[in-house]
Amino acid sequence: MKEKIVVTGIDKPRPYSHLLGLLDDAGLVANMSNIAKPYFCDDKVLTSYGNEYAIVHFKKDYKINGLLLTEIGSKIGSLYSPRETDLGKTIYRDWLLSFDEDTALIRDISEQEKKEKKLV
Amino acid sequence: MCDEENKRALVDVSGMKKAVVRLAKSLGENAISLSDNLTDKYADNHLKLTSHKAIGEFLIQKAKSLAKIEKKLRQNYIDAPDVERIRIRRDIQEIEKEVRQFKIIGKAKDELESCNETLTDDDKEISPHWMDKFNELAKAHNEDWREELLAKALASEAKKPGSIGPRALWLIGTMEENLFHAFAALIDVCSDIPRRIFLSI
Repeated sequence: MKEKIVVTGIDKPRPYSHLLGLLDDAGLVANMSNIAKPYFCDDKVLTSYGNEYAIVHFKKDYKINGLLLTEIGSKIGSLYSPRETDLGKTIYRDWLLSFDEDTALIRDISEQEKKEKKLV
Repeated sequence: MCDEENKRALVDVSGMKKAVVRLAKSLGENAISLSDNLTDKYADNHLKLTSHKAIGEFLIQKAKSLAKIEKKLRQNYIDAPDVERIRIRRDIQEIEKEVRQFKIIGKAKDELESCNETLTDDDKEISPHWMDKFNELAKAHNEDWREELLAKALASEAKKPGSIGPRALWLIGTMEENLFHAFAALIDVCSDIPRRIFLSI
């Protein structure tokens, strides 16, 4: 999946693994090895990508694998307005679909809830 | 409005007031009277619109004045002896730096103007060290994306001093183009769970 990320605006195309190395060197992403973010049974987590939202209700302890931004990466990332991409949507949707009922229940958010949570 | 709503509205006004005054202070010593004026305006409950307008007007006046000085300096340059030319060239460069700095502060003002968050009312100020670093970086030649990040960093500091540390600011000011685009591409595909995370599935 990582290799599919398109990086625009650079001098020449480079493999994304190389660019991830740059991000790691600059301290923007946490260690290159996959990091697991733990959640516990009965945790309800609001998740989103772009304008798509869903609540994940964990039915048992669970670890999310992925690449996390460091504190400094999060700070700088919060100043950047991300663009929605098809790849980003696919990753998010595939992730939601990857849960079986024993692991987590996925619930979409109604328009009313979006307004209440000031998501729109 | 009920008491609770009134209280919340007062905190909102107060939090935004301080953010705008902090931003006005970033304009330097010339703007001290402006930040005092803004404090009065907030006291008069003229709130957001008047204050942002005041900063906008200050920036326009300042830009006009700098353009006038620069024009005069360029005229003087033609007739000036060699030694004097070096000084004039340096003065012109200083003006160009200030113009770049004010352009970014103007963008920060726009960012603050569009802010709908509830801001906390605290007396913390942007640290002088942070402000010095910001001014140094803002005066340099910057790409559009870097200008955006610097402007948003200043707006964020005005809203909540300490939110963007000096290290993050330094990285914004010095990161290479490739690094920024790699970072942007990663953020573009990150999901919020609830922190941004690039899911590996």
